[in-house]
Amino acid sequence: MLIADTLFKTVTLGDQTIEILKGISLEIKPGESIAILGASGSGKSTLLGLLAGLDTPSSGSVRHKTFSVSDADEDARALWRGNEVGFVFQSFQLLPSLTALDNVALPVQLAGMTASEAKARALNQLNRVGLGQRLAHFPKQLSGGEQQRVAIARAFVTEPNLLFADEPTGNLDGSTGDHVADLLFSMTAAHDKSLILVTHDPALAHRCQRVVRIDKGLLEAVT
Amino acid sequence: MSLWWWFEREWRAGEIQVLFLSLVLAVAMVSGISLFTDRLTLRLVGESTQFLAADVVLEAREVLDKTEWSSQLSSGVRSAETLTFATMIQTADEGFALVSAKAVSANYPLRGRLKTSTTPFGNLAVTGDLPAIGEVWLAPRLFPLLNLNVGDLIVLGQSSLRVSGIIRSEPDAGGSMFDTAPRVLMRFEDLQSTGVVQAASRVSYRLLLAGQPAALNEAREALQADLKDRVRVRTVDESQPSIAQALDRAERFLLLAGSVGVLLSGVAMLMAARRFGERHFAYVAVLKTLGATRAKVVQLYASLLGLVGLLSMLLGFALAIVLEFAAVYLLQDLIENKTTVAYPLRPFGVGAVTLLVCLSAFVGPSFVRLAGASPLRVLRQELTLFAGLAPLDVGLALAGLLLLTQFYTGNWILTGSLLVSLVVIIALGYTVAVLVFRRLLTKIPLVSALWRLASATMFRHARANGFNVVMFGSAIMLMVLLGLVRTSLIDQWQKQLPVDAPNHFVINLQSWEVAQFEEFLNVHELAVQGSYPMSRARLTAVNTRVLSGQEGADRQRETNFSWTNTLPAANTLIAGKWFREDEVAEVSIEREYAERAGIALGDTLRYRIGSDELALVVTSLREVDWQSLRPNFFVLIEPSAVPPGAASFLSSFYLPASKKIVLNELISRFPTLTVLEIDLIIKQLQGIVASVSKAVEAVLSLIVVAGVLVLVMGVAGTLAERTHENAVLKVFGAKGSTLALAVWVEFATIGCIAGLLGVGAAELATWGIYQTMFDGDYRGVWWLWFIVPAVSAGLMACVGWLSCRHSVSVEPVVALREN
Repeated sequence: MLIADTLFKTVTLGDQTIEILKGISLEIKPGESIAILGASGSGKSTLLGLLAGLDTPSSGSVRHKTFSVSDADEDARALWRGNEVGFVFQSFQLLPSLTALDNVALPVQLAGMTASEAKARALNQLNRVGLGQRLAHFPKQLSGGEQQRVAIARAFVTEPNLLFADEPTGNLDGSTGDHVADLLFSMTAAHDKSLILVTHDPALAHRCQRVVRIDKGLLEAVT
Repeated sequence: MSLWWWFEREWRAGEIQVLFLSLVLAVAMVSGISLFTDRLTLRLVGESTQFLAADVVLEAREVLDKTEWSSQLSSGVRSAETLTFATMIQTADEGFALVSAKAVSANYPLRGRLKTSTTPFGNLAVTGDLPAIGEVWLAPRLFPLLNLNVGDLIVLGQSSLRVSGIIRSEPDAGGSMFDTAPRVLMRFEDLQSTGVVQAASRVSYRLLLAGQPAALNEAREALQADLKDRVRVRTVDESQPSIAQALDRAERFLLLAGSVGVLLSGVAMLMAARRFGERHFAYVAVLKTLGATRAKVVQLYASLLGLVGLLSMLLGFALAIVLEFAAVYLLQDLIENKTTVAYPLRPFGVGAVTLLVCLSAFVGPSFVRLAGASPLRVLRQELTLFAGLAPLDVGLALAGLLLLTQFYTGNWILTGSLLVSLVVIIALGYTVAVLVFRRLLTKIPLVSALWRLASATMFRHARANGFNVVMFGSAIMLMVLLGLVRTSLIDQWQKQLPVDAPNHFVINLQSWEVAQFEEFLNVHELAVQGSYPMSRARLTAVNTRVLSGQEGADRQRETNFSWTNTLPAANTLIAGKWFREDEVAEVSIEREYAERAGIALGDTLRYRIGSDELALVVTSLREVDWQSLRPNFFVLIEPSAVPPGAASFLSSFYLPASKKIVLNELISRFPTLTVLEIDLIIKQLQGIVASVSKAVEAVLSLIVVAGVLVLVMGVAGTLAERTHENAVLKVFGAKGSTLALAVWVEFATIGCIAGLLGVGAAELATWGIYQTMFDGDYRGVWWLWFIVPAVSAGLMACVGWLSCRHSVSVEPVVALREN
C-alpha cells in the first residue's frame, strides 16, 4: 500500500511563495489503478513527483509498505524506485544514445543483473509490446507510439509494484494513444500492479478503477 | 553495465566526442609545445656548446699531464686538449710576426666545426680535418703580412713546419677576441719538438670534455675535486653571456607560450565539460528515476571519464610527437644542429599532470553536479544544471589554471599577471556582457527587423552570451598577450644585433694612422664606427693599500683603459657622477670589475702607465651592455688626467661578406694593425635569434588554432537551441537570409565586446610582464584597441556562421521533429 498523508508543497519564486499542494492525503492499494485528473498547473505532476519519490514534500509523508519515502535520502529513494517503481512519461524519456533494447535493459543492469540476463528480460518485454523487430533502433528512428511502447517495456522490465504514468498519451495522436493506453492497462492488470496515472484527459482517467481530481492544491474524489 | 559498453554508446551518440577532442587537444598542445621547446633547447644548447668546442672546459695555466685526468673519464666522455700561447714565427725571407699559436689534439673540436678557406679571406668551408703532424694552418692576415703562400715553410721555435691551410674560424675562438694575435693552428704532437713551451711559460691550457650529461657531471666533479684551484671550469653559460642570455630569454618566452597553451586548453575543457554536463542532465535524471544512486552515477561517470582521459592522453601524446616533428621540419633550415636529440620524458609528464588537473578542475565540477542532478528533471523540463557561472566553478577553474601555470613556468609573477588579467576579464567581462545584452541592446531604437531579431536572440541568451564573451575574451587576451610579448622580445634581440653591427675590430692602430685608416674605410664605402684611444695600465695601490706581488688576479692588475669626456653609448651610470671639470683626476669603473677587484666609489686608485704614476678617484660606476658588441672598457679615465705618450687606438667597422677581400689591402697598408673578425660570432648569434623567433611563430600559430577551436566549441554549445528557435521562426515566416544575417550581427557583436575586453586584459598583463621580465616600461599599443575588436568581430561572425549555418538552413519540420 502506498500512503500519502497530508502532503504540502510550497516553492519560492523570487520573493513570492507559492503553495502548490495544500494537504493531500491518499491511499493506493496493491493492484489498484487510480487516475489523478487535473488541469494544467493544478499540481498533479508535483503530486506524482512526491508519490514516486522524485521530490520531497514541504510537510507530510509518503510511505510504501514499511518504507518511508518522504524521509529517505536521495540514494535510498533511488534504490526504492529501482526495485518498486516503474515510469511512463509524456515525453518518453528514452536515452537517445541507446537502442530500444539497451533502453529497456538499462534499469535491470542498474539493479545489478548481468548484461545477458538484462538483455533476455528486455527482449521478452519488447516482444510483449510488439517491438521484437525494432530492437536495434534508436529512439530517433522510432515513431512516437513506438517510443512510448519502448517506455512501457522499460517500466515493466524490473517487475515493479507501482507504475507511474504522467500523461502517457499526451504526445500521441488519438488512435496511437488508445493503442498505448490499451497496452498499459492490460499489462498492469496482467501483472496485478498498482497504476497511478496523471492526466487531464477525463476519458483516459475513467479507464482507471478510481479517479481523483486535483484542483488548487486540494484533492477531491470523483469516483 | 560494462565500461566499454557505456563508452561505446556515448561515443556513438557523439556526446563524448567534444570532451574527448578537447582533452586530446589540451594534452597534445601542452605536451607538443613542451616537447618542442625542450628539444629545441637541447638543440640550441647543442649549438651553443659549439662556442666552447665542448660541453665543459677545464682551463689551467699549465699543461695537465694526461695521467692526471684520463683516469677520471668514463667511457661516455670524450676529451681533447688545446694549448694556446704567444710566440714568434719566422719565414724563409726573414719575416717575423707575433702570433697566437694553438696546439690541438686529434679529437679537437668536440663540438662545432673548424672553418677554412682555400685563399685568404676567400669563401668559407667547413672541415672535419686538422693540420697533419708537422704542418700548420695560418690565419688569413699572416699571408699578406709575411708574403706567404700555402706550401711554404715557417719556423716556430726549433721546428720548421709546413703551411698546409688557412684557418678562418674555430668554434671556441669567441671568448677572448681582444687578446688574440693572428692564429697559428698546429698539432699537440709537435709541441715537444718546437721547444717553445717550458715549465714557466705563460700558456692557456684547455681540457675539452663532451658526452652524456650524467657521465660528464661525474667526470667534472671528480676532476674539480682532484685538481682544485689549478683549474677553472667553463660551461656554455659562463663562457658566452650573450648566448646564455639569448637561451634564457628563449626559454622564458616559450614557457610563457606553453602556459598560454595550458590556459586555452583549460577554457576549451571548461566549455566542453559544461556542454557535456548540460546534455547529460536529462540522462542522469532518467538514470536516477530508474534507480541509480548518487554513488552509481559517480562511479559510472568517473570510470567513463577515466577511460576518456586515458585514451585522450595516449592520442594526445601521439599528436604531440607529430606536432613537434612538423615544427622541426618547418625549422629545419634554421636549426644547424642535425644531431639526434633524445625525447625527454618531462613533456609527457607535463601532459599527464595537465590532464589530471584539467579533469579535476575543469571537468570535475560539471560531473559532480551531474551526480547531484535532481531526478525531477524528468517531470520539469525547464530545470537546468548550470544557471550561469557558479563562484565555486570559477574558483576551481582558476585554481586549476594557477596550479598548471605555476607548475609549467615556475614563475609566480608570470602566473600572477596572467591570473589577475583572467580574473579582471571574467569579472568585468561577465558584468559588461550581461549589462550590454540585457540593458543596452533593448535601449537601441529597433530600426530594422534584422536588428530586432539579433538583439532579441542576444537578450534571450544574455547569460550564455556573457559566458561566451568571457571565454572568447580570455582566448583573445592570451593570443594578443603572446603577440605583444613576442614582438617586444624579438625587437629587443634585433636591436642588440642590428644587421650593420660592427663585425670587425681593429686594434694597435697608431694615433697618426687614425685619419688614414678612416679615410681608407671611406674610400671603400665602409662606415666608420668611431675610434677609441687605448693604453695599458697597472693597478699598484687602492687608497693607502699597496698591492704587492701576485695580489689580485692578473687581468685586474693589468688592464686596458680608454679616455673620453662623454659617457659612451651602451654604458649606464649606476653610481656617482660622470667626469666634471675640476682639480680631481677621475676614473670611472665598470660595476662587475669593481666588485671583483674590491673597488668602491670614492676610492683612490694608483695606476702605473708606462713610467708615470697616477692617482685617480673613482667618481662613478658604470653598467656596460656587453651584448651591444661595441668596444667597451672596464676602466675609463678623465682625458686631462692621462699622461701624454704612446697610445694605440681601437676601432670597429661593418664589413659585408662581399667586401671581405678589402682586408688584404688593409693589412698591407697598415702592417701593425690587428684585425679581429667577429662576423662569424655575430652570424651564429643571429642564427640562434632567428631560430627562436621562428619557433615562437610556430608556437603562436598552434595557439591561434587552439583559440579558434575554443570559439567553435563555444558556439557548438548553443547550436541545438538555435536550430530549434530558427525552425520556429521559419514556421512563422522568417526568411533564411534574415536569420543568417541575424547570426552574423549577433556573433559580430559578441566578437567586438570580447575583443575589447581581451585587448584591455592583455595590455594589463603585458604591463605586468614588462615590469617583471623585461625590466621595461610598457606604454600600450593604441591601434590594438581598434584592430583586435574588428578582427575578433569578423572572426567570430565567420566562426558563428560556419557553426550555425546548419541551424539556419535546416528544414523547420526536420528541426522540430529532432527536438
